[in-house]
Amino acid sequence: MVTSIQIKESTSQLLKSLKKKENAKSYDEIIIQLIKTKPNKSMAGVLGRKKHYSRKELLKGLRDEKDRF
Amino acid sequence: MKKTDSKLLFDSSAWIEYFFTGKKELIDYVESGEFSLISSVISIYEVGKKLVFEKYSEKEINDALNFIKENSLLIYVDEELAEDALKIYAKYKLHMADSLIYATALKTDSTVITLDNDFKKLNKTIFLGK
Repeated sequence: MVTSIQIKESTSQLLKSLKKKENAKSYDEIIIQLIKTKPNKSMAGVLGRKKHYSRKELLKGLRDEKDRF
Repeated sequence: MKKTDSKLLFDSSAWIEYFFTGKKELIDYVESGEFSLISSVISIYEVGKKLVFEKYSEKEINDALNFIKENSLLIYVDEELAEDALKIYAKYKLHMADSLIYATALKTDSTVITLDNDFKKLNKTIFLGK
């Protein structure tokens, strides 16, 4: 048995993207997957073990300061 | 943060902070399972670029980028988003990447998590910097 629900356009966009990403057969399948997902492993801080970075160093070069034109 | 703010758009700076310092607040956002994480595809380039700049190995870079891909929903830039970003540029005079990322947040009705000063005064933004 199926039913209809009303969702925001913004939420619809997210579901479409996720359905494509997961190659899912239905939105139902995706919504079930969405319930309480958590990473299988943590990567918190793993790249900072070699060297301590200040906040300024962390953000340096991350975003281009100027546009192309 | 309001309970309704369950969709979080992780800016590149937030991902970098998570990978490098493991700030507790970011661990909660990423690992609690209580939030839907969203990333702009632009962050794949920016985070990767930063790791290349810092001379991390190809494996470390791939591991970090795969983590973002697996644990957040990537939103791509399309015609509509580009036009939304243009409107944001006109209003706030943000740079291209900032405009595209903020447009992504508005389109997905999500809250931006960032350490970038340029987002500091924008609505629906949680600024984690000083």
